[in-house]
Amino acid sequence: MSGLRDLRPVHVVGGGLHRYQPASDTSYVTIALAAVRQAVDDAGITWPDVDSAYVGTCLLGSAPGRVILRHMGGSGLAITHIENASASGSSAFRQACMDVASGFSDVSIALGVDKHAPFNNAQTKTGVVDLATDEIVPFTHFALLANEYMTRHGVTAEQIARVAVKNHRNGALNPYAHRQQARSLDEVMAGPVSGILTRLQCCPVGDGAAAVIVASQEAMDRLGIDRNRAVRVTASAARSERLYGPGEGFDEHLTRETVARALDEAGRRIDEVDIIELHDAFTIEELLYLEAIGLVPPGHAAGALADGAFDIGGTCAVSPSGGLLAMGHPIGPTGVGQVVETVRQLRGEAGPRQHPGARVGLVHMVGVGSVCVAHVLER
Amino acid sequence: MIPPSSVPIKQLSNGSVELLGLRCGACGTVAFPYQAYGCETCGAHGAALEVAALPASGRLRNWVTVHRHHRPIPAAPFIVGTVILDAGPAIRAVFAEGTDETKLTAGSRIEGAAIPAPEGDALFFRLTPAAGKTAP
Repeated sequence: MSGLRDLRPVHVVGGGLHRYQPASDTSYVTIALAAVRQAVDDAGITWPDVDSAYVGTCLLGSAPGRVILRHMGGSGLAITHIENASASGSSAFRQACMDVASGFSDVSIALGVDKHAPFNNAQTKTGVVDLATDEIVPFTHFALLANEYMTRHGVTAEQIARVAVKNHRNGALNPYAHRQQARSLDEVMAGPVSGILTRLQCCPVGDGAAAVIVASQEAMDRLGIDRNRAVRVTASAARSERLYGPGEGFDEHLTRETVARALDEAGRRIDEVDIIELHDAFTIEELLYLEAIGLVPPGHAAGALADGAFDIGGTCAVSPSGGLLAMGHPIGPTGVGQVVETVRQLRGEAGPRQHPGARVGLVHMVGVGSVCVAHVLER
Repeated sequence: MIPPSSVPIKQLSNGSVELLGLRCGACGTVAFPYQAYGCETCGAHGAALEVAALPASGRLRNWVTVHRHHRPIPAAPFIVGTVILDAGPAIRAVFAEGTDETKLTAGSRIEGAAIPAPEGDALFFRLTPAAGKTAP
């Protein structure tokens, strides 16, 4: 099976963000344009240089793309909307990479934008009723996984909560984060939601936007884009949930399969990865996924976390942006924002959040369905 | 056929409850709940999909107390859990009011019961620890 490695090279040449923020009266057009303009300026190009746009959004409603992008100047670029639940932005980025790699475009933008709104879940409209669909929402699904993880590995609630202590500490260093306040363990442990999960161990939802521009080498030469700041996308993988056995954690299995494909395509081992931005909507997810992708053995993630292995400056910086827990999860932008953070890390432009010597990054999102999308980036 | 949008349980004359699952005649998969769209293992559909009455008993895999709920019923806090049925599939359901979470253990035997809703004719399915039964 071929992938990006068999097509022409694709590089991220620009990134932009609007702060992820609590639900506000700010128009989605304002939020999105801020991210787009920052990305265009970062790339050192002009808007007419962009051939195509993939707009990742889950909650805005149909067809916001040209409503936004016409204000960059009506260039006539191809616009496609991408909805893949929480992975909408990740899939928009994947499509932009494929567009350039395959030769359909020389320059493409992945834009993620959303404003806080109820999630219209198609799975609840099939006519098939389960026993507790209403009572078991995502935070309880992951609280159940946390219960099992604690029983199986002897890990405590405090050990799991330390994921949030780390990620809130990182978010406090990020001016684009929804939550920018470092938190003590006691603060994180307060405010029970479900099982061991507390308010600060669950991601906030709100408004936000993120944009990434990808380009071919030919475009970089033609447009005079600084190659020293270009980050290559060396893998793109996407999978959906299979059947894994009764009661099995499908998020973990799906993550294992998808990330394995991405690393294989990139020709990288997990221990070669310096930066990981993953789907840490709930603290337990960070531990489960790090074990699933083989960064640490099963049951060892909490101990490695406590040893500082996943800190900025540790063995591998996990969620240096603050992750979904602190950076936030406005849904459409999230996967794109992960790429922005990772590119800044790999360029050495992450400021106080800089992980020293970052060369290889992995970004990962899962979405209701379930679906999973992962990319590897290298400089 | 099971009417759409109804909880897939059947209360027997002796008061016990069966869960209305699915057996695929093409590949043998047993799943819950019943649906007529297609087997999630092999894709068989139509006459290949049979309603399978599954005993509402099994072993507890995980559980939590839910402290926040967006509806008044059930009133939070309440306990939910994952049970691996003796028949094979996993189910997730709410425990009966008054269940003591401190008495729940992984692998313990759990049974299901139907309780009437506060209003109307609907039945709620609730989990309870199986009385006097321990893991072998």
